[in-house]
Formats: sequence, C-alpha cells, structure tokens
Amino acid sequence: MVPILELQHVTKTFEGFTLNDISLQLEAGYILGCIGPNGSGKTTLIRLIMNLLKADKGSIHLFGTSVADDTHAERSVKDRIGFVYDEPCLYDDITPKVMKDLIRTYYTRWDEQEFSRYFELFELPANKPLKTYSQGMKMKFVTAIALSHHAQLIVMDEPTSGLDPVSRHEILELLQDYITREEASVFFSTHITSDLERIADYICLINHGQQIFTLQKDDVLEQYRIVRGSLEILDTAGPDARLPLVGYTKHAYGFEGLTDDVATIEKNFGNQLVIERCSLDDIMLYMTKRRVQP
Amino acid sequence: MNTVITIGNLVRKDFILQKRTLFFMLFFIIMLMFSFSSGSNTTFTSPYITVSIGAAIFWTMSVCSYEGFYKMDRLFASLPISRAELVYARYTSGFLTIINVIVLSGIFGGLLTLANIRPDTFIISWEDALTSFFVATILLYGYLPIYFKLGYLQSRMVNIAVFALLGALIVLISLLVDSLGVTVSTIPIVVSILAILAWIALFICSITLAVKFYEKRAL
Repeated sequence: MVPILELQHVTKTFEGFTLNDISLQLEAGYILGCIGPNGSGKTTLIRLIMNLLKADKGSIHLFGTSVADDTHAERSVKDRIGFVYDEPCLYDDITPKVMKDLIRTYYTRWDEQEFSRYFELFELPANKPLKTYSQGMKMKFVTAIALSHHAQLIVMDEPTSGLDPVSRHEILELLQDYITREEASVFFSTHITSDLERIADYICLINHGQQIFTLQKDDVLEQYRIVRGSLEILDTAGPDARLPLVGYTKHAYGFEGLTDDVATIEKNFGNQLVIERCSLDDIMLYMTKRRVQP
Repeated sequence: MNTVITIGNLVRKDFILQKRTLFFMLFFIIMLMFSFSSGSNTTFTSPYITVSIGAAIFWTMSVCSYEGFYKMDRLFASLPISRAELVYARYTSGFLTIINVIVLSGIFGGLLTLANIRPDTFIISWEDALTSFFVATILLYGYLPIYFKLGYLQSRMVNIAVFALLGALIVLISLLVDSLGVTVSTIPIVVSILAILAWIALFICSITLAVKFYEKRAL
C-alpha cells in the first residue's frame, strides 16, 4: 500500500540552520506527531511537505506522487489535504462566512453540511468579523475548514498552542473521530507533547534540524525510563556503560536522568535507583539538550 | 478545477478585498480630479491619465499589501491552486482594476464637467482612456514581477525606485510627444502597431518572469 506521506533524506539549508536528512513515512489511518523545541525545524518540515519551500536534497511524496515540479499533480494532491498553520492566515475584516466562501470554491469535495456541523460545534459567531475572534476561535475556524472537504491527510502546525485545555481536548477528539470516519492520516507538529500522548501513533523527534528518531509512540514510551538516585551513585558510576543515561540533571538531593537501556541499569543497580515510566515531555527535555547531558 | 474558473474566483476575491477601500478610492479619485483638472484635453498630459494611473496602481497595491500583511500567500499556495494561476489572476484583476478606475474617473470627470463645478474640466476622450490603460498596464508590468519575487513588504522599496524610473520615463515621452504636437489619433499607424507589439512583448516578459519568480519563492 502506498504511504500517504513519504519523506526520503529531505534536506533544506538556510543561513544558520539546516533541516538535515529527514526520512519518515505515514500510512493511511495513522497520526504522526512531530515534536521538538521551538526552532527545531518542525514548521520548516511542514512548509516542505506543503511545497511552500523546495527541498535542497531528497524527495517528498504525497499519495505516492512527487509534487515538487508538477503543478498539475500538486493541485490534485492539495485537494486531498487539509491544513492548519500555527498562525491562522485569515483576512480580519471579513466575516467567517465570506472567508469560508473564498476558500471552499477551490475544493472539489467541499461539504457544506460538515462545515456547518463543525462551526456550530465550536460555537463560533457567524456574523462577527474575524478580527473579533480570539486566537483560539481562529484556530477552531481553520480546523473546521480543514476537516470539511474530506481530506485524506491533515497537516497541522501547532494547532493547539492557542487553545484552552477544554478546546484542545475537543479538537483532539474530533481529529480521532475524523480519521476513523475518513480513513485519513494526520501529521501533527506540537511542543505540547501531552496532546500526542493522547492521540498519536508515531512520534518523530527533531532537534536543531536533526531527526532524533521516528518510532511508534508505544515503543518510545516503552523504551525510555526516568531514573532517579543519589549523587553518590552518579558520581561513582558516572553516566557510562554501567549507568547508561541519555541525559541527566543534578539537584540538591540527587539526580534524575533518562535512559534507553533500563535492563542494564536494573542489572547493575537493582533497587538502589528509582525507575519510572516517562512522558514524551521527559524524552523531549532530555534528548534536546535543554538539560545537562553526560 | 478549470483554470479559468479558478482565476475567476481569485479575481472575485480581489474585488471583495477592494470593496474595503472603495469609498476611500472614490474620494481619492475625486480629489485627484480636482487637483489635476487643469491639464490639456488634447495631449498625453490629460488629468484623466494621471488620475487613472495613480488610482489604479494604488488600488492594486492596497490588495497586495493587505495580502502581505495577513500572509495570505501561504494560505492560497496551500490550496489546490497552482502558483501560475495565482499570478495570472493578479494580472487579470490588475487589468480590470485599471479599467474600473478609468471608468470611475470618466464618470466623476463627466459629472464635474456637467455640473460646471470647475470650468477647466472636460469629458474623458477615448484617447485619454486608451493612454491611461497603456501607461497603467506598463507600470503594472514593472510592479508585479518584483512583488511576486520579493513579497509585498520587501518589494516596497524596490517598487518606489521602479515607479520613479518608469514614471520619469513616461513623463519624458509624454512631454516629447506633446512638444511635437502629436496625439493618439495622429500617431502613424505603423508606430501604433509597433507600440501595441511592444506592449504585448512587455506583458509576456512580465508575466513569464512573475510566474518563474513566484514558483521559486519560499512562502
């Protein structure tokens, strides 16, 4: 089966930043969450996927088609993509109805009933100009548009960043419902990793333009563990082969670290250390050099 | 979707955006008509030409600036529309804006003349309309490739220079033609044909460059 999205060795260089050798694929019916700190390259990756930027190297296939230099293919591929960007691109002076009418004409499978359903569900005011909308309301509006033309791939760049927890939960539930109904896939970038813990099937971690990993979420959460212990253990064993830590931080009462080799640690230290399941937040924090590393 | 329908929808979008500034533009045209109505009605320095060109370019640029401010480039390039269609649509709406402005300034000039508010105003002639259209479109041919290459914000400074250069060139040609006592209707047919061919060549160069620039631009 042809993947909905496939990137092979994609590289893009700007002055002072390189998104380097990114490879991943996304099958129909799955959600891939792209995580990484601000400036890691998530938005650049999305701009490359949407052909807003051209890759210097590598290839991007959407629905099995490369759209880089084929405008005809690009049109038919984009008809099958819904998108939500971190900054909603909307004309502020017009009403949501006029804005929606400006967009819907380009989609061959626009579903007005579906749009009305989302619009009502989000309780958006219909007659007020978009400049009166809050950031969260604008995000809901563009999400309603993205989900109203039976898109088979939804590309979202930080869609939940301006939303309160209730709205975030609402949108995540809608996304899950949408991919079940439409057999669609979602490429979702965020730094709110708890959102992805709830809905993602795959996680891609990017830092400083480098792809750290792309793995199934359950495998990621199974592979890594948080380790806590005294400073004496850290100082004597050190973060080496006996105490393999991806990253750690010291505090007054001991240390906390992330390991991807829990078996070795359990073998060498037994119950001297506390070993706990970790969150995606922990993994991102320790793997993106935001804390002291060995 | 058919390219013609797509371009039609994009042009409609530009007109919806232009509606925001409609009253300002009407006021702007009336003010310009008052300011420039002392020109000649037989030469290239007719007030209708100055007013039409100024208003048409200003109106086109206002839509471009509005889109640049809200980063609408990114939205439209993400929709099932090719970048070439976005360029064709902007040229089409530019042409239609120029025609609209010529018609509006003709109407206001006519009203001023009929009401005898200013004794030196006169009804627009087909020569004024034609000259306005040609000169305004040439300015558009200079403006749009730079806009599509750099985006609105970055293109502002370059465009000031381009407009100044083209404007100076057009004024020089107008003065030269005026001093020779030539009007549009007295231009030899060969010269007219050559001028039309040059205008078409400029259009092809401009739109080709604009498509090339826009297809390569990072959004």
